[in-house]
Amino acid sequence: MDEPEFSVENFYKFVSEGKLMGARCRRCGKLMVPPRPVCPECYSRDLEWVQLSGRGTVETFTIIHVPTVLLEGKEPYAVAVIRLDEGPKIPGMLPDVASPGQLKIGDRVRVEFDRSPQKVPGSWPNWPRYYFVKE
Amino acid sequence: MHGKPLAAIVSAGSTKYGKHDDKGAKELFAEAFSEALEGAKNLDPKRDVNAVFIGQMGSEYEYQAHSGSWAADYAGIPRTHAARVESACASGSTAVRVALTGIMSGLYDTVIVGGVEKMRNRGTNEVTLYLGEAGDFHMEIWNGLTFPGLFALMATAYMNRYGAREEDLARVAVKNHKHASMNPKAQYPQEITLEQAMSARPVAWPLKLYDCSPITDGASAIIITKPELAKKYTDTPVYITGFGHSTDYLGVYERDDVTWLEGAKRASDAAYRAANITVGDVDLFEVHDCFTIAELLLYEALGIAGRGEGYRAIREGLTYYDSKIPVNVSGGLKAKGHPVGATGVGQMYEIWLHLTGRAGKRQVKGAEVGVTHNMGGSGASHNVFVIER
Ligand SMILES: [Zn+2]
Repeated sequence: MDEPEFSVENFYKFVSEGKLMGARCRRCGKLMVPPRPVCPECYSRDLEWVQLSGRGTVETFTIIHVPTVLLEGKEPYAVAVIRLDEGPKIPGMLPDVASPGQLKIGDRVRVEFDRSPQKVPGSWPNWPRYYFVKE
Repeated sequence: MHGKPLAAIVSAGSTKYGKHDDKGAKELFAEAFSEALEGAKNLDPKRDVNAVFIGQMGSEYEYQAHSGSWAADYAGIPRTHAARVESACASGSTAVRVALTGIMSGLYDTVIVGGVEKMRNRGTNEVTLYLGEAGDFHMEIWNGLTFPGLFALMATAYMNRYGAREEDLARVAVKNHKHASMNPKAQYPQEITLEQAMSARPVAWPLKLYDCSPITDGASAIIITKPELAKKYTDTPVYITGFGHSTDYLGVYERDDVTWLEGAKRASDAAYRAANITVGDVDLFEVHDCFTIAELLLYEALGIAGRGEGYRAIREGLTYYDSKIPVNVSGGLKAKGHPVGATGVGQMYEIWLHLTGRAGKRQVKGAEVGVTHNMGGSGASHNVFVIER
């Protein structure tokens, strides 16, 4: 079967289609988010793309007041580590959370997608972002 | 000495850490190197030095890479072995590690190790992006995290799990500023109060301005040699008797427990074992307090406090220079300053000062065993050295 390359570039290409995707190792079952071309557990390259539910739980978080130049002007916003229901953890923005009282560890969240490219075409990186909202 | 000498530090030097508008990385390195050279009698680099290694994280700041070559040139030995060593904020100690393994292998007799970073010529948001390169760009930085943000993730989880408070973080800053007030080379030698630290503006909640190490220009240098050559160059050599190193997952999000620096635990265990010491034998520590939470997590990883009990050590004041377990007597990254690539070498400079009785007002009396811990990124690399006299 012709699978798209298991790369971060393609992970964000799926985000532009409104999908949060990972790679599963067909040999040992390891789920990789973001995907990698080689399974770090068993070194197999026999992988498949799998769509994730986009639901998960806040493991920890911060409120960013001094962003990098990439997000200047968007502050304050929260970034959390989300434990996805499928197991892996990923970082994700919660753009609507601006103070610590609005979020706590253990809160349930679900993914949403900003499908518009972030910058001028031709520049890199030009990925869309996934983000999270409280359920 | 508890351990067998692996290499000797015969001299060390450092610029003042801070803002050096009229100097770039090259001039900063030259200044630190020159000070180190002045302390090494009978050492002629053109005759005696076999290699130069320089720790530096970012070439973006000055559009100048290839630092091994310019550092050798500025050390007056343009045709030698040299390289820039990069391991994010652990670049400096990694350069020391490269030099040490070169000496231990028999390839080199004597090596100049520098560390440098020139950062203050850039704006804060720009520096924030460059420093973020030490984390996972594709997942963490792109999705809004910053370097302070990565440590804030650890702080939120740590406070939630163990009941530590924001005041406990601030206490680390108060201590390190107190220490820096006795260090003429520190960037921020002003003492601060707990109230000042608590009321500062947030950078990445729960971390506020005084929880974060500053943006700093500076350089440090050491000259290291085979143990048997040490007395040729100085009457007061100190010896590296143990070192340990470990990497960890690049992304904070990938680690099982974000309140625990497993890489630091492994590196310090290895270093203590090599030097045949336990944590109780150590007279002073210089540890990587890039953020106040990092110092608390390092108390735990390095065995200074039990797991989940690091914040009690600072509450009880155990880690002041005149207390039981002095930590970051230099002022630490927090108040001495954090010229990223220089930091790991600057920590060794500080230990060298204490072990040779040159630390002035902040001297830890009778210090014989010092430990440095230098961390890369948000904990994805760690180098620990045991240094004895
Ligand atoms: Zn596998």
